[in-house]
Parts: sequence; structure tokens; C-alpha cells
Amino acid sequence: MSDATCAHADHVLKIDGLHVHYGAICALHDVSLALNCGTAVALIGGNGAGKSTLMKRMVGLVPPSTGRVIWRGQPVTRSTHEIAYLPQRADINWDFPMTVRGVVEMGRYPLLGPWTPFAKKDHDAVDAALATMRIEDLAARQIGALSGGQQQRALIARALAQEAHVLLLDEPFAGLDPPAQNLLAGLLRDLASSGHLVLAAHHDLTTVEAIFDEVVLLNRRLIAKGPSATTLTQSNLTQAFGAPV
Amino acid sequence: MNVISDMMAYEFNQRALLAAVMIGFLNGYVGGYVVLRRGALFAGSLSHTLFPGVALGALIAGLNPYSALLGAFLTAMVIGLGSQSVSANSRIDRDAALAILYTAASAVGILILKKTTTNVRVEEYLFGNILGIGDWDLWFMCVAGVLVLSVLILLQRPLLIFVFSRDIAATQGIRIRLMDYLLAAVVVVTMVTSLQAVGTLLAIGLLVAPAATLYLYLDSPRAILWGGGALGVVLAVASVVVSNVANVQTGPVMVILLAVCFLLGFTCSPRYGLLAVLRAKRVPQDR
Repeated sequence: MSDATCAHADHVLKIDGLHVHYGAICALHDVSLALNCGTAVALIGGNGAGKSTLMKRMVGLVPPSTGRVIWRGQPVTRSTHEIAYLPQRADINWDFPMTVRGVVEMGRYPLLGPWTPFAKKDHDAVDAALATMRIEDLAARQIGALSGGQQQRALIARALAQEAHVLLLDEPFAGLDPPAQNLLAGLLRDLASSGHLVLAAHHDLTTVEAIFDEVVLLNRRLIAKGPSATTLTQSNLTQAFGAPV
Repeated sequence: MNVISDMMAYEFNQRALLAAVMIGFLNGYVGGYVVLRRGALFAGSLSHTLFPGVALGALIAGLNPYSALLGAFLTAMVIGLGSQSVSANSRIDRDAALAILYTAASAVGILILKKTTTNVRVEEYLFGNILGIGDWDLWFMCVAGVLVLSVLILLQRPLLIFVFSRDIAATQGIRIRLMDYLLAAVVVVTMVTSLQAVGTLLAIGLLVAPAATLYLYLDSPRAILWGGGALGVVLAVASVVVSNVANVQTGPVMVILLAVCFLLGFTCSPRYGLLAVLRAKRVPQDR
């Protein structure tokens, strides 16, 4: 999957000795791993395994705890437009009175700041993001009028307009019908091929190998990380889910 | 036109119309954020703190426009920001915290009213009196309005991301707690600005109704913000004229006009109105 010619294939996102606690509850214990741009990685584990917590910690949505997140060799201490987090679709107000284009345009705000007006390159970036996610024809549609798969692609297009290198997706396939899943899977693979790091919390074990190059198995601690084809062993899955799968 | 020219012959009517333009726009614009943030319940509860604030101001400094506005402002600000702070630092959500704090403030307000002899005049602040607007009130509206609108316009981009998704906003470096406090503060200032004109009971209607009406028509947050301001001006001015002709209080007329406008949108909006929704539901069944 990795493409040596792509823009940021040599970038690495590292997690180093990460612990996260919610009060007395340990959500993540001593997680360390390195993820390369240019790969699609599935984050797999049962409910409460810490998948969402890990992604939220990477972007600062969970209060800082021990351990570090290191991006391109530097500890992440403040938000960066290069790492984008996409919440679960259920966490978005889809009645929000905004078109698809409006949502994607919001991805440019971190780059432009509060006052810099949109220039041609910003409009071009929005057009390119819409085209990459194949939603150009839906640009004028209100976001609530989209199907689940289209909504997910609109959120990813917003992240692309933001010029994110890393896409953290929380259950992107949840609630999608098979055609929408296939389309989204193909697009995520295309994004990985073009040099992005795609990290997605994922539940459907039957589709992991077809979509993702690597898997990270999590059960509050790191169980295993490696190529999808060789890492999804019965032993690893049992440890990740706490029961035979 | 005779009605308008007759009205304009009186200085108090001129001031009332000027006040209607200013508070109409300010409320309509700020209400856009309240509706986009889904914060109408919060703002409504916050409006209940205005009256105890007026009573508190009257108790401390006697009843005059300054003590009333300052009392309402400080009380609403303390309770509004206090409830934000409680929710930010505990498991209690913002609305629950506000419910407790504003009912406590109301209880204190009732006790104060029982102890003072200014009940009747304090109660004027329940429904407001736009015809009693003085020059000082107009200046206050102007300065507060310019201040609030300047902040909201300057911070429009981060605010729009914030009201769209708190998580996305936080990942983009936007300080969401600060945004919570900012929106609570501008709601308080806006409602206090409208106090003299529409009173504490009706202020929430003028704040929420214009933007909520446009929410039923438009798919652009900026159009809802600016359009809310414009609709607020039109309806506030219309209610001054109507109340003048009918010789009734302006505040209630204003809120009734806003409600009628909202109900029209709710039923007849071509895209999101009740009739459109029913029509859309019927179409697949007919096939």
C-alpha cells in the first residue's frame, strides 16, 4: 500500500507510553506504537477497549495524561491541522443549516485563521476535496439530506480541505449499507495510497483484511500490531475482545 | 403613511423606533447563535434571572434605569457563567446547573420584592415599555450592540465551527470553554439591552424567534445570522407601529408577531415546513 513517491509517506505518528485514566478507571495502559503515513490501519477491540480514547488523546480531546504523542519527530502539544479527527456520525448535528460545501470550507479555517478571506487556492482545495470524496454533485445539498455514507465522505472531505495528513475516523462504517461501505473502503484505500495515514476504529472483522493494511488490537493495552493478514489470529482476537471471537 | 408621520411627530415614538431597530437587529443576530447552538432552553432559563436582578438592583440602589440594568446584568452574568463553570467542573450538565441557580435567584428576588415597597414599578420590567426609552437607554443599546456584534463578527469562523461540532472545534485548537462563556455572556448582554423595551418575560422570544423562523427556510448559518437581524428589525419596528395604532403595549405585540411569523414558517416553509414534510411523506406512498 505504501507509495514511496507520495507527499508524506515518510511521516510517522508515534504513541509513547500512553496512559489515560477517567477518574479511577484506567482507559488506556502503557500504549506505545508507531504508525506510518501511507497506510490504512484498523483499530480493533471490544466496547470499552479504548479505541475512541486513543484517537481522542491523539488530538487532545482527552485531558493530557502520562505518555506522549509524537508527530513527525515533535511532541504534539497543541492542535495541528495535519491531524484530523472525525467524530462518530451520531455525534454531529445533521440538522445544522449548512451545505456540504459549507462544511468542507470549514476545513480551511484552521489554515486561514479567523479573518483571512478565501483565495483561489482555498476554493481549489475545497473543490479537490469534494472531488476526491466524489461528492461534487452534492456540494449544494444540506448535510442532513445526505445518506450515511455521503455524510461520512463529507466529513472526510472537510479533513482533506484542512490538508490533514492523518485521518482518525471513529467507526466510519457504522450504519452503512454494503454499497456505501464498499465505496468508502475504496476511498480510504485511495487516501492511504496517496500518502495519508488512515486510522479507523472498526468492528467488522470480515472486512478488515480487504480494507486495511495493518491492524492495532487494543484492550485497554496494546495486544498486537502488524499486517492485517498475519495479526488477526484467534489468540490475539481473544485477548482483544476478552472472549473467543 | 399618515400613521408613520403622525407617530414620528412625537419624540418618544422616534426613540421607540430607533430602539426597535437596534434591539431587533442585535437580538436577531445573537439569536442565530442561540438557535445554531441549540441553546434556547439555556437562554430561556437565563432570562428568568433578569427579574430577580432588577429587584436586587432596586434593593441596593433604589429603582432607576441604571440600578435595574446593572442588577440584571450582574445577576444574569454570575448565574450564566456560574452554571457554565459548574458543568465544566463536574458531572452536572449546564441546564441542570442553571435550573438550580436561576430558581434560587428567583426565590431571592421574591423575598426582596416582599421586603421593598417598589413592587409596582419593578414589575414594569416584566413586560418592558419601549415608549419610555430615554436617551441613556439608546446610548446603552448602541454601545452594547456594537460591542457584541463586533466580537461575534470577528470570531465568526471559530464560533461557527464550535456550534457545528464541539469535538471538531476542540481538535482545531478552538478553546471551547471560552466559546461557551462568550456565548453565555453575549446572550446576557443582549437580553439586558432589551430589558427596558420588552421586559424580562418576553426578552427570550425576541432573542430566539427570528433565527428559529429562518432556520426553517435557510441552509446557511451566515444567512440565518444576518437574516435574523434583519427579520428582528422588521418585526420590532412593525410591532411599535401596530401597538401605536392599536394603543396597546409594544412588548406583547412584538412577541405575538414573532410567534405568528414562526408558525407561518413552521407550517408553510417550502423545504422544512409541516406541509412540505407531509407532502414529501405522501409522495412515496402514492407510488
